[in-house]
Amino acid sequence: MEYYRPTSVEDAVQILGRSPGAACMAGGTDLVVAMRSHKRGPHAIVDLSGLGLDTWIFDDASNRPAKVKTQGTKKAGNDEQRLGPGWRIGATVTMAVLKTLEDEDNLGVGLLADAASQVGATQIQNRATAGGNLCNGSPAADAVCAMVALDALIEIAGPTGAETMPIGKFLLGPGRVNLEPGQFLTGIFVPAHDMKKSSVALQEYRKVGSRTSLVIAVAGLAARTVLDKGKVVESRLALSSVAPTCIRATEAEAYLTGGPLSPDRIREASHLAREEARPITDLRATDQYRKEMVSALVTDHLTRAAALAQ
Amino acid sequence: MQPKPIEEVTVTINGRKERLAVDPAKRLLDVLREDLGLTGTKEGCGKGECGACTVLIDGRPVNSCLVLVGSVDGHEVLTIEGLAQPDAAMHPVQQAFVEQGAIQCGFCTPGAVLTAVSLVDSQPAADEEAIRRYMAGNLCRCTGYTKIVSAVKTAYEILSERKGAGRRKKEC
Amino acid sequence: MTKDCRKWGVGARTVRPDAEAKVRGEALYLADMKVNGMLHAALVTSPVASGHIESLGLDHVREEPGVQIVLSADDLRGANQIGIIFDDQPLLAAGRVRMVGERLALIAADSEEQAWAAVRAAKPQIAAEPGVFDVADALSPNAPKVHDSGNLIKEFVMHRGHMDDIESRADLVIEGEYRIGGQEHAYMEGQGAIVIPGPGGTLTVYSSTQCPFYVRQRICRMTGLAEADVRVVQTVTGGAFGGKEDYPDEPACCAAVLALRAHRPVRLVLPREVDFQGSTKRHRMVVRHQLYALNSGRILGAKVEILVDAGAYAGMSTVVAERANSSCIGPYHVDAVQVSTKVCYTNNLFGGPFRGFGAPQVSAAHEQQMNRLAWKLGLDPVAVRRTNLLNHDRPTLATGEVLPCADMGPKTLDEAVFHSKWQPRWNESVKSVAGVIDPEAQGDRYRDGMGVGTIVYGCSLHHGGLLLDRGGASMILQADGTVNVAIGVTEMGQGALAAARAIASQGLGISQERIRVREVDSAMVPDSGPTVASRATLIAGRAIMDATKILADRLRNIAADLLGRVPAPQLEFGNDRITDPVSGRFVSFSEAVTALYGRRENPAAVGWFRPPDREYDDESGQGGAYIFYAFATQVARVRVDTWTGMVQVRQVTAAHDVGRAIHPPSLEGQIQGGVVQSMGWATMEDLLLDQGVLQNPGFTNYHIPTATDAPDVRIVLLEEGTPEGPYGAKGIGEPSFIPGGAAILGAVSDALGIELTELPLTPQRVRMAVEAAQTSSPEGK
Ligand SMILES: Cc1cc2nc3c(=O)[nH]c(=O)nc-3n(C[C@H](O)[C@H](O)[C@H](O)COP(=O)(O)OP(=O)(O)OC[C@H]3O[C@@H](n4cnc5c(N)ncnc54)[C@H](O)[C@@H]3O)c2cc1C
Ligand code: FES
Ligand code: FES
Repeated sequence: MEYYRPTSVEDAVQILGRSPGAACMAGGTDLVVAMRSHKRGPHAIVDLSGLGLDTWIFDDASNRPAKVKTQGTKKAGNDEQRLGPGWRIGATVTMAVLKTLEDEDNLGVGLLADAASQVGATQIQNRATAGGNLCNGSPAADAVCAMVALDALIEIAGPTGAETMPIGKFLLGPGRVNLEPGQFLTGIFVPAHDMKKSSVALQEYRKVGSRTSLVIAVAGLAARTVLDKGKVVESRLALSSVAPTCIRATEAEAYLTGGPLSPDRIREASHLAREEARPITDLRATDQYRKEMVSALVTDHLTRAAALAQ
Repeated sequence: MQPKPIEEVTVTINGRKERLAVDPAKRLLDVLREDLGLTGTKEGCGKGECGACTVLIDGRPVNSCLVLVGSVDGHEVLTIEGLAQPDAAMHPVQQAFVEQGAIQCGFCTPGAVLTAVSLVDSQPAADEEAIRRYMAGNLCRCTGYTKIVSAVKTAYEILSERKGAGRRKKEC
Repeated sequence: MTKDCRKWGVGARTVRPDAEAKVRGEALYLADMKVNGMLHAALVTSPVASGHIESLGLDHVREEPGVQIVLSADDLRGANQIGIIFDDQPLLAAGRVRMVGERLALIAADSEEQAWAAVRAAKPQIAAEPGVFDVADALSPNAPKVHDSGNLIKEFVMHRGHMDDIESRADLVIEGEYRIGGQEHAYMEGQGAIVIPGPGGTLTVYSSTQCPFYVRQRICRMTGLAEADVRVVQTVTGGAFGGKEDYPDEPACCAAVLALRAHRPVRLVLPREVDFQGSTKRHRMVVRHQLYALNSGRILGAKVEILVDAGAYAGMSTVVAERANSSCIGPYHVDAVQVSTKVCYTNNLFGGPFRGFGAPQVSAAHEQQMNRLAWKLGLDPVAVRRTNLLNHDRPTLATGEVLPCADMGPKTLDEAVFHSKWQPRWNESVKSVAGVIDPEAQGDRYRDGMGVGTIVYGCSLHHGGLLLDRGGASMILQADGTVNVAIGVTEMGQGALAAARAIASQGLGISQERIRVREVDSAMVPDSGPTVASRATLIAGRAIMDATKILADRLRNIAADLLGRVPAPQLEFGNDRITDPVSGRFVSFSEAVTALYGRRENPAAVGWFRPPDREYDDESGQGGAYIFYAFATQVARVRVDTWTGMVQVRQVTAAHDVGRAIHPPSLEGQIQGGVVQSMGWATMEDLLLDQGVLQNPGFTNYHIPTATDAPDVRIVLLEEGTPEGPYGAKGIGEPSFIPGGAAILGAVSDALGIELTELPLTPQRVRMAVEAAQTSSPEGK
C-alpha cells in the first residue's frame, strides 16, 4: 500500500486523481478501524495532515464579495447565496480544537464546540477531525449534527476546482457523502447567526446512549433556540441517529418560530419532531425507543429554553 | 513534480530521533511494540475504545492503535518507557499511582498514566469531575477508578509541592 | 487520626510489590514476550451456532503466505477432548458445530498478521441446523438436542423441612420469574499462550491464567505428556475475574499441539473479537422464585427453580450451578426449601466462571423477592431483612449448616444502612406514574431510589470441589536475611502477592521489603488448586503460615541460644527482631539467619494447608458446603432518568465481613472494582445474541463502565476474624461483586415504584418498563 502525505491541496488533488483506489485519511479514527476490520482496503492512503488545514479563523466578511456561488448537487443546479460573517474551519481541525471555540455572543459556533466535546473521549478528540466526522457519513456523527443545525457550508477541492455546497446536499445516507471521485473536503464554513441584544439563546448538543462518555448516540439533538420578548425568533433542531443522515426537524422548527414556548406548543413541537424522525432498529436501540428519545430531547431542550426566557 | 509516496518516517520517540524504514501504513502501536521493543504500550482492543495503547504525540494523548506511523512523521512521541528511565526516579504521576494503590492488574496503567500526565501538564488544576471526564478514554476493569482518580489528585499535590507550594499530607 | 505506617506484618498499608514494574511499563505480559523462531497461531472458527460441517474449506489456506501448519480434527494425534469436567468438548470440531466461535482448524504462520490473513482464506461450509437459543426452551421435549445425551447436563437440588407445612402456614406467597443476563469478563489483557517445545518432548508453557495447574492437566491429557515434563509459568496477568480459570487451557492446548507438530515455539494471542465470541461468559439464568411468608414479614421458606444456560459445552457450568443452588435462599433463616437447579445445553455463548460464580444472579432474585415482600406488606425492605437474617439465635443456613459467625449478617446490614443514610422512597405516598415526557412533568423526570443487597458467601471451593481444596507454599531464608516465597495461587491483579507477602512478613516479624513472592511456576510449587472462589489469601496464607512456623521455630531456638538461656517459646517476632519480652533484649532477624547459616541448618520450608473434611449430601443439598462464610451488605443509591431510562448509580455503600484486612489497599481495590463491575453488569453490559451470534463482540458496542460512570464507593470493613482464615482473614474477591446487582435492581425499582425482574437495566429496558407502567396505570395517559 502506498502512503502519501502531500503538503499542498494541489498535490493532494493530483494524487487522488491518479489513484482511484486511494482513501483520504485525516485523524484515522474511522478509517483505521474500518481497515482493521477489513471493511475497507484502500490501495493507497492520502494523509491530509500535512495540508495545513488544521486551523480556523473568524471571517467577518469584510473582504469578501457580497455573493458567493454555492453549488448543490449537479441535479439541483447552482444557487447564489449571500455569505455573511462566520467561522472558516479547516477540514483537519480536531475535536479538541473545536471544543475550545468560544461563543460568548451566542452566534452559533458554541453549539459545534459543545458537540465536539462529546465525541469519544480525550484520545479520540485529539485525532478525530471535523472533515472526518462529515466524510465518514455516519448519521450518529455528533459534530455533523451541530453543523447541520447551523447550516454549515462544505468546501470541496477536486479536479474540476473548488466548490462550496450546503451541508444538506453533502450528506447522502449512511456512509455516503456527495464527493465525486478525486474530490475531497477542505473545510467548512459555519455562518454566524446574529441575534438582537434583547434576545436570549439556548444552544446545546445532547445525546442519549448507554453510558455517560465514550458512547455513540442512540439519538442526539443539536438545538439552538433564540427567544425575543417571549417569542421564538430562531429555531434550529437537528437530530442525529434517527434517520439515514443527520436531519433537521423542519416542521417542528417552522411551527415553533414566531410563537411563545408554552407547554402546549412544546408538546406539539416535540410531537412534530418525533414524526419527522425515521429511525431504524439496530443493535443499539429499537426504532420505537429512538422516537421516544426524540420527544425526550426536544421537550427537554425547549422546556429549559422556556425557563431561560423567564 | 509528481508527489511521491513516503517510504520512511522520521519521528522523535522518547526524546530520540529515529529514522524508521517501516511501512508508513503500519500502526504506531505495532512499530513501538514490534520494531522498537517498547512493549509498555499495550493493546487491549485495537479499536480506539480502551485506551491501553495511549501514547502522547506532541504532549497530547492518542490511541496508538489508530495512528498510522506515517502520520507522525516529524512529531514527538512519548511512551511510558520515556516518562522515566529505568534507573531514574518515577514521574510524579507514576509515583502517585504507586502510592495510591491505583494499580491492580496493571494492563491499563501505562495508558492511564500517560493520559494523566497530559492532564496535569495541560491544566493547572482539575476537580474530580474534570479528572473523570479527561480519563474516560482509559478503561480499567480492576480498580473501579476510585484510586486512579485519587492518584491524579495526588499527582497535582506532588507537583505543587515541588513548585514549593507547601507540603502535602502523606499517608505514611 | 494518625495513620498506621508500619511496614511489616498484616494490615500494613504498603505499596504492592508489583506496582512499580507495572507503572513503568516494565512488567511483561504474554503478548510482550517473543521467543526465537516463534510461529504465530490463529483459529478458524464457526460462524454458525448449530450445524454439520460439510467441508472445512482449508484448501487454499495452506498456500497462503507464511503458513507453516494447518491442523483440523483429523490431523490431531492425541485425544481431541478438552472438556474440563465432562468429556463433551473437542479441541477442534469434528462433524458438528454447536456454537459460534467453535474452533474448526488451527493455523500457524510466520507472523501474526499472516496467520489471521490465512484464517480469512478459509471457506468452511456448514449446513445450519435448528438450535436452542433460549434456556427456557432447552428442556422442552421437541427442542433440538445440542448433544445426543440431551440438553440437561445436570440437576442440583436442595431440600429442607416440609414444604406442605409452610405452604399451609403461609399468609402470602411472592412469585417472581427473573431473567438475569450474562456478562463478558472484559479483562483488559486478552487470552493467550506461548508454548515452547524442549528436548525430549517436554514443554514450557507461558500462560495468562489464574489456574496454571488446570493448563498443565489439560495439555497433558491432550498430548499424553507427563505432568513433570510440562512446566506452566504464569505470566503477569492483565485481569481475569474467572475468565482465566478454565478458558486459558484452550489457547494453551491449541498452541501446544501446533508447537509439538512444528517443533517450534508457538504463540497464540486472541484478538478481542475472537475472545469475546469464543471465551466463557457469566451465565444467563432464569430464576423462578416462590417465597412463602407470614403477614409479619417473617419468611417460612421458598421454592426455587433455576435454569442455567451453559451454552454448547458443559465447561465448569455445573460447578457454577452448584454455588447458585446453595446460595439461592440468601442469608435468611427458613423452615423449608425446595430448590432445583438445572444446567442446560443451548447453542448460545459458552458459560463459565465469573466473579461470584452463579451467586450474583440468584442473589438478585432472592433480594428482589425480599423487597417485594416488604413492599407488599408496606414494610421497609431493611426491616424485613432484619426479621429474617441469620443470627446467633437462628444460625442455620438453608443448607443445614450452622454458622458460628451468623451475627455478621445483621452487623453488615446495620453498618451499610447507617453509613448510606438509608432512606428508600417506596414508603412515600408518591406513587404517581413516572416518565411522562411532557414539559409540565419535567420536575418529576429524575427519580432517586435506594436498594439493598445482603448476601452470605461460602468461601473457597464447594464440597463438590473438596479434592482440589488444598495448597502449598515454599519459602527460603536467604543468608542476607531476604526471603523468597513461592505460592501455588496466582496474582491476576487482585493483590495475591501483596497479601502473601504481608502474611509471610507477619509470620517472621520482618518488614515486607525483605520478601519476594513470585508468580506461579508449576515446577516449583505443589498443585494448589485453582485461584478462584476468593480462596487465594486463605490457601496461600495458611500454607505460608505453616512454612513460617517451621522457620520461626528454627530461628527461635537459635535466638534463644544467642540471647543466652532464654526459654525459646517466649520469644516474639516483630520489627525485624526476635525479642525476649521479659528482658526486652533482642537479636536482629538478620543475625539469627546468619547464625542459622553458620550452623548449616535448613533455611527452607514447604508449608501446606488442607481445609478440614466436611460432610455434604448431594441428594438433599444439605451439609457442609463451604469451609466458612462471609457476609456482606451493599446499599445502592441511584438516580433514574425516567425519560431516557438511564440509570445513574450515584453511590454504593459496601459493608463487608472481611475477617481481617491483610493488605488494606488491595482489599479496598477489590471492593471498589467489584462494585463497579457489578454496576456495569446490572446497568449497561448487555450481550446481544442473535441465533447464537454475539452482535456486540467488542468494546464499541459492549459497554463497560468508564471513569464517568463509576459511582462513589464507600467502604465499611468489619474485622472480627475467623479461626480458619490466615490471621482471621476471610475472602473478598467475589463478595465484593455479589450484592451490587441486587442492590441496584432494588434501587431502580424503588425509584420508579415498579417491581423489575430483569438485568441488565439498560436505558431502553428501563424506559420500556416505565412505559408499560404508564399504560397499565389509571393515571397514565
Ligand atoms: C473509540 C471511538 C469513539 C468514537 N466516538 C465518536 C462519537 O462519540 N461521536 C462521533 O461523532 N464520532 C465518534 N467516533 C467516530 C470518529 O472519531 C469521528 O467520526 C471522527 O470525526 C472521524 O474523523 P477522522 O479525522 O478520524 O476521520 P478519518 O478516519 O481519517 O476519516 C473518516 C472517513 O472520512 C474520509 N475523510 C476524512 N477526511 C476527509 C476529507 N477531508 N475529505 C474527504 N474524505 C475525508 C476518510 O477517507 C474516511 O472514509 C468515534 C470513533 C472511535 C474509534
Ligand atoms: S488498543 Fe488502542 S484503544 Fe484499545
Ligand atoms: S488495573 Fe487492571 S485494567 Fe486497570
